[in-house]
Amino acid sequence: MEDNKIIELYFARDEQAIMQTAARYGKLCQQVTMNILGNRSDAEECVNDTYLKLWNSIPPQRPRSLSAYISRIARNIAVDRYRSLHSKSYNRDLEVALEELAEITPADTSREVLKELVQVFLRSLDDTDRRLFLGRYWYALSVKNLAKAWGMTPNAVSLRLFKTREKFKAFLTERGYRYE
Amino acid sequence: MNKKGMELFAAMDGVSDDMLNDALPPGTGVYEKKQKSHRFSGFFERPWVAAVISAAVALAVLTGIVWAGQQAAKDPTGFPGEIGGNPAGSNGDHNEFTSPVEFDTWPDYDNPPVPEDAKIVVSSGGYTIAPAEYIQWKDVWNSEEQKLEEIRGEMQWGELMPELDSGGDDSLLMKEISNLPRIPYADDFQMTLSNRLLELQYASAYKEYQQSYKFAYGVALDLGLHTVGDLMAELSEGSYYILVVAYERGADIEGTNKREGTMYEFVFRVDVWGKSDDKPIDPNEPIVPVDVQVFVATKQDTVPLRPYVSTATQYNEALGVWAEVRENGLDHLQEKSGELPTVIYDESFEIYIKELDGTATARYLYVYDENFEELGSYRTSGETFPWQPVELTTLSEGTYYVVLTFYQSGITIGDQKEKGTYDYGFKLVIDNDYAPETEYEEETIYVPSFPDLAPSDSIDIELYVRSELDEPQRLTPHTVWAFLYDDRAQQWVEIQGDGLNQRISELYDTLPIFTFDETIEWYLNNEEDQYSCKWYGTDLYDEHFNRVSDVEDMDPEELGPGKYYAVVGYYQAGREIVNYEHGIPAGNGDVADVAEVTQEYGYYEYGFCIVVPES
Repeated sequence: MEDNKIIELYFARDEQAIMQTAARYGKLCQQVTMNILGNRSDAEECVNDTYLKLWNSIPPQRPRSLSAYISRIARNIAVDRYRSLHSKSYNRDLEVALEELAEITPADTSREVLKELVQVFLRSLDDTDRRLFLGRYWYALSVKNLAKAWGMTPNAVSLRLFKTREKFKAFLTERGYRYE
Repeated sequence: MNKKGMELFAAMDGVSDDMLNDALPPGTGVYEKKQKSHRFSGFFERPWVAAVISAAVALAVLTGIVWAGQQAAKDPTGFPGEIGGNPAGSNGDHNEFTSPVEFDTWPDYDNPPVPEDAKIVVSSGGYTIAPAEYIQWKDVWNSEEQKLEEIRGEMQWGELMPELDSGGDDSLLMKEISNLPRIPYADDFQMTLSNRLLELQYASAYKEYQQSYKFAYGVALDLGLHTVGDLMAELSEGSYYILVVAYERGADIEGTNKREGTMYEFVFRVDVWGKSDDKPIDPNEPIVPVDVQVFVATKQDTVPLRPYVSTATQYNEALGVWAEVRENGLDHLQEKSGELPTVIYDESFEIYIKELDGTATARYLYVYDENFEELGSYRTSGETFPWQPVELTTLSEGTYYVVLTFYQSGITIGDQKEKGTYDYGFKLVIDNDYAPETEYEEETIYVPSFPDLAPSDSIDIELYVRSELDEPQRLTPHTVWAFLYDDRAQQWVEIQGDGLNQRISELYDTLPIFTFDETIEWYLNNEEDQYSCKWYGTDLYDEHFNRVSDVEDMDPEELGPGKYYAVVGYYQAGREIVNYEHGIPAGNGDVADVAEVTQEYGYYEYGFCIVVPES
């Protein structure tokens, strides 16, 4: 079923909306949450929470892109879950990605400012670098899976990511942000 | 949890919907239906593409493709003329989850048919070659939304080459090179599409650059060139891989506003030489592979030398001759003398030669005085060439030029090889009063003590494997790939490669053995390791050393009984490396400050054997 029809089901408060969403975007939600949590049962709970939040937010929301809207909800729920579970759960892949991000995170910069900077920086990248960067740090894919997804070698992916991180650091340094 | 990293991870939430959809990874279920061809999307979105492609004449004058232009003129709704109607819109709205188009005539996506007549014919200098076709992409042209929609795609050359430029694995390309059609360039170069339904989209040239491939000139249309012949005419001397992308129209898809189409890529190799253009030759870009590194070491310094290509010859199969393609080495010593590094003699003086593949032969050392008069020459051999002090004592104070020359075979072409003569040179200053003020600081400046170019042995990864049936056991790293950043070439350079993945069939019986049970796992011993190195995946091989693909969880039912070999890869930063361009002696007795330091990185592979029992 196409997105606009699914959204209409939500507006009509038809429970088929959830089933159609699961059929179309269930795998996407599972991947996003699983990549972050690294635990299947936690990920499944987050997927269910995602559907519930969708049901409660549409209407009044009418997302322009349903896939992006769902991905964001799933990611946010998974991040919150990961934060709360951290003492009991540890996702090595995600921690490596976070460590990579920590190296390029400037000191004393608010999240809101970071959001804007990231958006501007991503626009400056070519398509491949942007997809790899988002694949790694938004969809939280491992390098190996990222390489597989885009038909590249892990070495090539890791080197491109490394260069992009360096570019990001230079991008912020040029704008006066400092690193500890 | 890394809170600092999580802050930026959370801030990524501000990314726009368009970017998110564009980066949606394949395999999520929705990707196949909505993702555009990532390879072509950027291409079609460029404004110049619209300007160039929409002009039917631009295609009409493409070499030998008059027919394509005529068809485009007859059918104003057809591709590629339609591209002009929406030059930048295809990435704007991703609310386009159209149902996938079913192709009744092409159900087997893994084995697409290759039409016999989808060929291009290249003729040059009296030689005609029909390159093997590389079927690539199945697309549909959506005339309502004015864009191509990818149905199936398979990465081939067009993806591989730019990837190589960023340091990717070039083994596939190297393996395929010798099979490529190869022609000499001549002024009568022509390319025609033999299939009437093929329409040329663009052509790219990739220049051979040492053992990698450099994206040389962009696409033909990007340069404002109209034909592949135009692109060829722009190329300076050297060897190139030419990628030609053509689109074949298919049938209309009944009941939709779409029609089938297929993208093809063709690759051939062309050797360009003897052109009478006036382009300066760039000595930084040797045109044949160089696998030799040369250093001059004194007590105070170690200076790497760079190669100047003296001559390079390539065997042309079509002509059946060896042809010289460049002469620009230190035969022109006087012209090049300003580019040579300076080495101050300080009673400890050696020249080191490192051959990575052992193909260099017949080395000679020439010594010239400051007026470029040859004082003598020496034939050399072995990995190092110690300069005998007794010979130096025959030289008085002053400036000399030293040139090391050797001959090397390059890549294989059929049963022949490319060959080149390379020169390495430096300016030698003998000054008995020389007393450098700057002391060598070992703790801050790492100078590779040749031939120690292996990655840092300070690696501290502690990787263990354990299972219920076996005691935990620490794994030993098997080699590695080491990378250095070459500031001059602006790219990562691999300086050693000899990993376990490559040698699993030789080293398998040295690996520790574990019996598979549900508790088997491999793990790092402490948190510090987890932050100092990065895991880059695990490969699994069966007992015949075939890679077992798509095994994520090592499920014994999935594996089946038998022996398997796991290779776990880790990537870790190593030593800091001085950027020598800024660290060489200045020639007046002073030592220039080290302006930049870069880092060495190593890729480490750990292996173990898993035995899955019968029951």
